[in-house]
Amino acid sequence: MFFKIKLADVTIGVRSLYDGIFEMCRDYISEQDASFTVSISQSDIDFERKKSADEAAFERRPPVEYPDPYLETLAVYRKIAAGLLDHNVMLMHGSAVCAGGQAYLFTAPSGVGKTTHSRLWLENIEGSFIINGDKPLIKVSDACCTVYGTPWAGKEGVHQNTSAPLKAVCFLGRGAENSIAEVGFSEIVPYLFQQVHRPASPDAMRKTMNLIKEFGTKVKFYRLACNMEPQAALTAYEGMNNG
Amino acid sequence: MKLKYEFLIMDMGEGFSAVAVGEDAGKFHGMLQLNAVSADIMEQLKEETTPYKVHAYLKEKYPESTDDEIGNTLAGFLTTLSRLGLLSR
Repeated sequence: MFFKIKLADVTIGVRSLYDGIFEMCRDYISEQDASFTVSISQSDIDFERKKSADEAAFERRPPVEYPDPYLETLAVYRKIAAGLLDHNVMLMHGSAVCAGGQAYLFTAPSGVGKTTHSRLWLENIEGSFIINGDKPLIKVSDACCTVYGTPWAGKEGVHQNTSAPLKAVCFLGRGAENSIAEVGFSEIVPYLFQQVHRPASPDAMRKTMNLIKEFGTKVKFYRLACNMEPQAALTAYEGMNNG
Repeated sequence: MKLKYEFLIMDMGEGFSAVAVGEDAGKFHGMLQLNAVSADIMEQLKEETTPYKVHAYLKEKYPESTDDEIGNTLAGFLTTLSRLGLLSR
């Protein structure tokens, strides 16, 4: 089937093999002319299956046999992420929370507690909401960086079709006490590379690295040591606004 | 000697970064943070070369450095690359 979606202000055509991807993207359907189109074939799905198996082997965990319609959603986002690089948009793994009209991106290795910390914001920072809980898009423009919601939002599937200027990126770590400190771009570069979508092609990787470099000049970076108490959200919010 | 994988090396403003790309992207998941000299050495190692040739290249590019300084820097970085499994000799 064929349909169009609008992500990060870019309209994208999607030619899929299964209907599930259309249902998933329902909130993002657009009728505008597409800037580019992604088409999925069985070989794209097979690539995702092999990649998933390779990652499981690398992480020494048992492989999961995902159904083709789910693997197709991964293939679509992979191709969209590659196409969006030409529009100065990159995919970053993290939970984007909006509060007071500005976005804060929390990122960390799996299992550290991005979801838990984001929930603490919803419970303790008035008016906050999640733009995307797992894989938001970030547009890097001359003026600022903007976070966009997408339907690719991890296990919890929390997302909104909205956007907000990105105020800061916060790298989470567990701590007995809550503390936050601003860190420089050079210190954070390796962690950024771990969290962005890394395309294989040299050209696409060069664009990604250029975007990361630009990103580093427009956004502040923080390192938060946190526990699961409500104070963790307040420490983060105050640290990134008054620190 | 030569790098085992295809690397993209870029000036990130506050130092250089190197990542594996192309068919080799999945073989080295990490990222190297480099200073200018290490980035120069990696660029030279994209093609088959010898320690002598790289030393000569660095000597020409950094004439203010002594042979010993260049030799120690080169030997140290080649050891690091070997330890990471990124260098074929």
